[in-house]
Amino acid sequence: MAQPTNDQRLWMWRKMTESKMFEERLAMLMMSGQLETFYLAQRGQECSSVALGAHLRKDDAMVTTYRGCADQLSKGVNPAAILAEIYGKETGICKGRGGAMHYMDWDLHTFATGIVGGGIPVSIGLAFAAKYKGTDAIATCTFGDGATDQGTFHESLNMASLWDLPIVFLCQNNLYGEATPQAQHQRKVNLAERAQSYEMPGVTVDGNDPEACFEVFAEAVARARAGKGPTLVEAKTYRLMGHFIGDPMVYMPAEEVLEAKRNDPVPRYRARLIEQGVLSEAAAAEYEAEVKSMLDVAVTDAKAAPAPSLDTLTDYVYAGNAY
Amino acid sequence: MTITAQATRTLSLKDAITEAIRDEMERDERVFLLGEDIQDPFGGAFQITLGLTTKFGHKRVVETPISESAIIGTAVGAAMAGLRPIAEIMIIDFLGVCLDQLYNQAAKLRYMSAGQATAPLVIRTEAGAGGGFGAQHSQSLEAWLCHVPGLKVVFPSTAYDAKGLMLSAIRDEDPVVFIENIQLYWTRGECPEGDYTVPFGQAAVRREGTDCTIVAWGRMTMDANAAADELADLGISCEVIDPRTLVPLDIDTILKSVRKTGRLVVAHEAVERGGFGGEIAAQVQEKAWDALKGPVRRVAAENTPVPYAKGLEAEMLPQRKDIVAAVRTAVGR
Repeated sequence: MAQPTNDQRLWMWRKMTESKMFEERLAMLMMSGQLETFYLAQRGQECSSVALGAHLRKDDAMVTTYRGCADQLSKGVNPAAILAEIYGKETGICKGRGGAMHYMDWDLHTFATGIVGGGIPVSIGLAFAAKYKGTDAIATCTFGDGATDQGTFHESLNMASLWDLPIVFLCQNNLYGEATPQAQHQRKVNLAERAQSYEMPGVTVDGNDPEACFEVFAEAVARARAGKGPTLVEAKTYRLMGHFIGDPMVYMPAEEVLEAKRNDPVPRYRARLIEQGVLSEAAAAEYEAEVKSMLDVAVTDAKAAPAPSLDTLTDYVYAGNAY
Repeated sequence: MTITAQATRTLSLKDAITEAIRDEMERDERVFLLGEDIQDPFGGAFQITLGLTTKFGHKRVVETPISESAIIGTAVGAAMAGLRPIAEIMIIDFLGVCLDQLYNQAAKLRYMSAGQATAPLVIRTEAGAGGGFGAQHSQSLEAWLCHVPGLKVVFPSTAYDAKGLMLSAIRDEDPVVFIENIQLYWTRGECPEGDYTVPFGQAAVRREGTDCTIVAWGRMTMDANAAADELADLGISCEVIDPRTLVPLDIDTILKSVRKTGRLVVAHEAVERGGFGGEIAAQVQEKAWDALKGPVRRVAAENTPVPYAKGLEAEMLPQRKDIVAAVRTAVGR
């Protein structure tokens, strides 16, 4: 099993930290009334996102969901451009047309959808195209436990297996499908077992351990790139900010949430890297300060940026004029 | 439009579609087909893809599981990545199974990404009653599709248009739903060999007239033409317009005609309530109220599921006589 190098460890921690701080800033802006939006945080689920991202190239396609900040940052998407998008500005990554749930950077081949399970069939097409063109690019597709209840999940895994498509499915099992605990929305506990139905490898991994995830994805990505077909990875994790920012989380036991917060994987990994001598406290603090200033500038810029001009309302409906 | 080959010959509408696909697959490696039962020797439920596997191989004619959502999703992803998929949804009634992939994923991709990503794909689907298939295999659901910004909706009624519109559809930069009426598959018409396109958003005036305009598409174009013949015998002169594409809609040609005739009957096989005829009626009264001598009339199916029993089915569907009656009411004789 391929273990991460120290550089890869540091990269993963930096990306996790960037995503964590980004979402914490958003939550602060929203809860203090400075920003009105509907945002679904990936906070707490970052480990498997960065561990997958560590194996990806620019030409690999990534499909994620409305809860995909860590995924997209791991692919290299510019956080300032995401922030401007969430502010609904012309400088946003989708010029304010995508918004907080549907931003994407096609230059980096990321795509997100706000429909649970809706992105999985699209990822099949992206993997199909890579194979059709004879490249060794792959596709990845991230979703939650709730999406595995959708028909699209089953249709897509069947097809991916049937056609030996170069794809890695990442199910971040955060134990809740929106406001419904896993035990109330599906009988199965270990979702990687669903892979057996489709004759593909399925692996359950501790989704709060970036290095365990890294090793699993090393194999899954290599398998896809070598043309050997898809893998389903289930990363067991937890959603620290609920379904959406502002979610009263009344359906999540308070003890469970407290315990999860105590075990927040990002500070835990920071401490681990420091303990192992891979990262120093000073270097960690320096990087966190960098992210903080980057976010300060990004927020200022996003607030000041122009909103889309009203006469562009019908742009991008069709290739030419709107009808 | 450009016609590079002049040979005049007739072809069935279904063969015209096949020829367009075959020719474009020869010209463009990015074009591939996917759908249920489309490979040889079966060649698709209506044999539109018959022979194409033999010619182009399994890489470009892809047999899929019965998984409509994954079929459309695969087309969307492949189109985003630069391919030109033509997906077959065997019968339009099955679109409901995969509508999310069509109206949330394909239709909104360009808009939500501000043009970064696009889904230039074609979905071919058979529609219409008369096959004795009953309520879940006989509908005309074009109005649903027209309601979604980002989709284009094409509805050919002649072999010439079927080929030219299919070539336009494959080359189009947006998702196109290409609706094929079952009753028209075996109708024959002129269809040149070689490469030509019929552009979207250009209606065809099938017949010129002065007393009443009839707008009809799909199977109803045959009934409209027959009704116009019958009405001519009564001294009523009808102008028959086939929009050919509903999105984009060539409203200008319709308005020009209504300004001449002062009367409009819209005929479609879909049920009346919420049908696209209502949209055309609304646009005409908004834009040519002053020219109208009376209300716009709709000839459409009854608001029921398509019945199985032949008598009931005929009772439910709009007929030539219904168009004749509507025009006679409109002109008052």
